[in-house]
Amino acid sequence: MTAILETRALRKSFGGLVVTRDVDLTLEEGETHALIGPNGAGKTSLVNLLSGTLSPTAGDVLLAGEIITRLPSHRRARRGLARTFQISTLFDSFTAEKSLVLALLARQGHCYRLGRMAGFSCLRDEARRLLDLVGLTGRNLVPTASMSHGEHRQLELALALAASPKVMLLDEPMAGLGGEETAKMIELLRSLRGRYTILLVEHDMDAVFALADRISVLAEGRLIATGSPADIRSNAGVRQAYFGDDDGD
Amino acid sequence: MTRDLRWPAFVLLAATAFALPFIGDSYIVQLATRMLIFGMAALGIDFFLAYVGQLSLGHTIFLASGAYLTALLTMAGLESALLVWPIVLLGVALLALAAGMLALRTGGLYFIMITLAFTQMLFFFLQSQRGLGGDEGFSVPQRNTLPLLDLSDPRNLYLLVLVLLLGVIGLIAWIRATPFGAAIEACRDNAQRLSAMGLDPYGYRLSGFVFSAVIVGLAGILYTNNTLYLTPALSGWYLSGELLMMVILGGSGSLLGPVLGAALFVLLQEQLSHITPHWMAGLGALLVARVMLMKDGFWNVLARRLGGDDSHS
Amino acid sequence: MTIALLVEQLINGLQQGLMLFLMAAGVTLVFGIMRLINLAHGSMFMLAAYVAVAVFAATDSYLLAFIVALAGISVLAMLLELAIFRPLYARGHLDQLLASFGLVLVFNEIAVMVWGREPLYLSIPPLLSGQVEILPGVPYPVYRLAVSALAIAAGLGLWLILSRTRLGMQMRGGAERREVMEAMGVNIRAIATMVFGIGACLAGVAGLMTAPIMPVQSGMGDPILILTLVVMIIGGVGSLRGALIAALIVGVVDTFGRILLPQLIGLNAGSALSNMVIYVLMAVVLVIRPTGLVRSAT
Ligand SMILES: Nc1ncnc2c1ncn2[C@@H]1O[C@H](COP(=O)(O)OP(=O)(O)OP(=O)(O)O)[C@@H](O)[C@H]1O
Ligand SMILES: [Mg+2]
Repeated sequence: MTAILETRALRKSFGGLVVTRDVDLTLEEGETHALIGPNGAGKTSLVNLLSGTLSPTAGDVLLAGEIITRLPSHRRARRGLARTFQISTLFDSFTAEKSLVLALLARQGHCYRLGRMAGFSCLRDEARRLLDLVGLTGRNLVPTASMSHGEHRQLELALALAASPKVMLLDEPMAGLGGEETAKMIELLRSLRGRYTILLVEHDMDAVFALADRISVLAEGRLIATGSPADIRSNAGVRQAYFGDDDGD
Repeated sequence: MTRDLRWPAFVLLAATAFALPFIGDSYIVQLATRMLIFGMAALGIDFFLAYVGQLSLGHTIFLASGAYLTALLTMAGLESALLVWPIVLLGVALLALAAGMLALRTGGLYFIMITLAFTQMLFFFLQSQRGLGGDEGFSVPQRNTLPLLDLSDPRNLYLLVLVLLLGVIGLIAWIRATPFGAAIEACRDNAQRLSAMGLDPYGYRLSGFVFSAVIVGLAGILYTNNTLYLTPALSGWYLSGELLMMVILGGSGSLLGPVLGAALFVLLQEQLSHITPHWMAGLGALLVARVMLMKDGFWNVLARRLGGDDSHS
Repeated sequence: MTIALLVEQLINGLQQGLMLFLMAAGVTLVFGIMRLINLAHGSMFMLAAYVAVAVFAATDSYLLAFIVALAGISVLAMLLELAIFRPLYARGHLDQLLASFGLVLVFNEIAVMVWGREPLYLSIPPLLSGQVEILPGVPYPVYRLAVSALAIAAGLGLWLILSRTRLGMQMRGGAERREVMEAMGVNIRAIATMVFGIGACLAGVAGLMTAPIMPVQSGMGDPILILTLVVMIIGGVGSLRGALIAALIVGVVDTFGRILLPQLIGLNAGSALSNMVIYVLMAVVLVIRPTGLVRSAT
């Protein structure tokens, strides 16, 4: 197993508030790695540091052994780092299909092309396949703004998959989904296991234990434990962080 | 879906526009030429506003520089439109590239204000050029020349402006249908998602800025050829405000809205100034009323009636 | 350039800076609390000057002229807030800019209708018309000193309101965390109206300061408004401290630019550039610090 995504003493502070404290996190190639922690622990901040949405105060991020700390997020995306957002971050005026065709075109690194968008029929087919995969069959021509919250979560995932990434950072893909939708999403993520390296931020413990090869726990910006699901289940520090009364805000 | 009547409406409008020089007198032709030129400028500004999704108060820089460059080249002895116009458009594009690279480092209100500052800067610069008549401006001796079309005939100029305007409309419609246009609009909807997909929002904003500036620059070229008289007021925030007013009178984000808004504006300006010397107050009140009382410009409201739900025509 | 001239121009520059700060304070407060950008602020400046001239012409009393002008302009601004601006808070900058641009056109034209196109002048009060030596050999108009004192007093007044009164605390609170203030039962709407009144009053003071030095005419507030916006941008949008620093810098740079550039690079080119100096300054500041000199609280 080789490390594909790594952080070294990664630190981020907003003024006096330290949201990421000297985090050393390693994602092995092909694993599904869950990142858990109480609300406000800094999970989204860590994902943002990895994807380049935020730049760190100190420390480094490495992708496949290369330092990418200073690369802006679009350059990281081009190197195979895809992500979803906890709060759906989509093109509201586009249809699902148009968003996906754009994402597929973006794999070439630019979109300065002047052919007709509608002319890329093979990309349209691929977009529809992705929509089928995430469970949006038949919804390809619906404008994003008029889709449901659950459909937004599915489209987020489809956009990440469209990049054919090496690593996917999924920030709470199940957030706000109903029971049935959650079950479907878990099923989908299970089918992706092993094909991609996945960092899965999730509050739903059933989902985490069902999907993760390894789990890391974040509390107040610090990585307090990393290990197999069984290790984490029995880890006293984790119980403390989750159920103790000392979680600061 | 009900029958989409927007195309018939468009064809009817275009046909009327083509027929105009053969039925109207020279006063009407001149007025209509002015409408179309401001319509083109408004369309350029609206491309940036509606599709790039940012408000610029500085696009009058490109109107003024297009107009002044044309005048200066013409007065320097270059008369052929085929020579002058491409040079001017290139000049405007380069200027837009430089201004855009600076201004787009910022966003939101800062962007609005820095573009405002740019246009004021140019205004003061032009105003201080004694050789160009200072505040009073100067007249340009003649129009540019084309091989087969005699532009000194106002009708021919009008027809040329009309064709160019339709060309610009077509160009915008085409750009919007390409991946390039999609990336620009995607960047307006959500720049964060665009960069998470591997595309750099800055580049698309900048190229959208330059593209819209060139359209406005073309309007500037035509402005010089139409009025043959230039003043520094072609740059500056008043005209920026008026151009935006044209955009929202007709409606932003549609291809005909800004053009029809400009036509209405020029018409009102003309009519009101016959009625009262204080017509500016009337325009101002109209602008306030439009913002306060209507959700969208009149063409967009009408277009929605004509063609179902989609506001974009 | 002699020391005397240098000192004199420095004071002139600082004075212009103070005047700009009074203008910028209003725009900044309104933007900080309501996120609204109001171009008609320059009209308040202009109308205050006109009203003062008119009342003085009728009553021959400076005191009455000033009081009527300031009170009138504050009331007008509060009425505008209720009728026009309140519905615009939730809208985008485009609607706000255009509606207030419409107001600028209306007010400029009203000024022409009422007072005509010819510029009016407000004479300097006889009490303040002499000169004093501020340094040995450096005479300086008393009026200008008095005006600076007035501006400083207005600035201090604003500072006292903001830091010492309940209203001021609520205003600052509104700028930083609106929802919290609303949850605490503070009437943000009433505060917004007050803020417009206070802002317009400050703009009125700026207008009164300027009336005796500059011709009073339609549109006189517009270039000042643009300068004010430049100040706000250089200082960092929404920050009063930034506005003060930037206003003083802009005032001094602008004043010296007008004096020095024509001397340095010839009259024509120099006067051309001197109008552009502050815009260049702004561009440079934004290139180095894209969000202005001082980061605001929000
Ligand atoms: N831009 C910012 N400026 C200041 N503080 C921030 C910023 N972004 C996040 N924070 C703070 O950082 C802390 C961590 O936030 P983050 O969103 O990373 O937590 P999280 O673990 O993702 O929480 P949740 O489970 O609710 O999604 C929070 O206290 C938050 O308020
Ligand atoms: Mg989070």
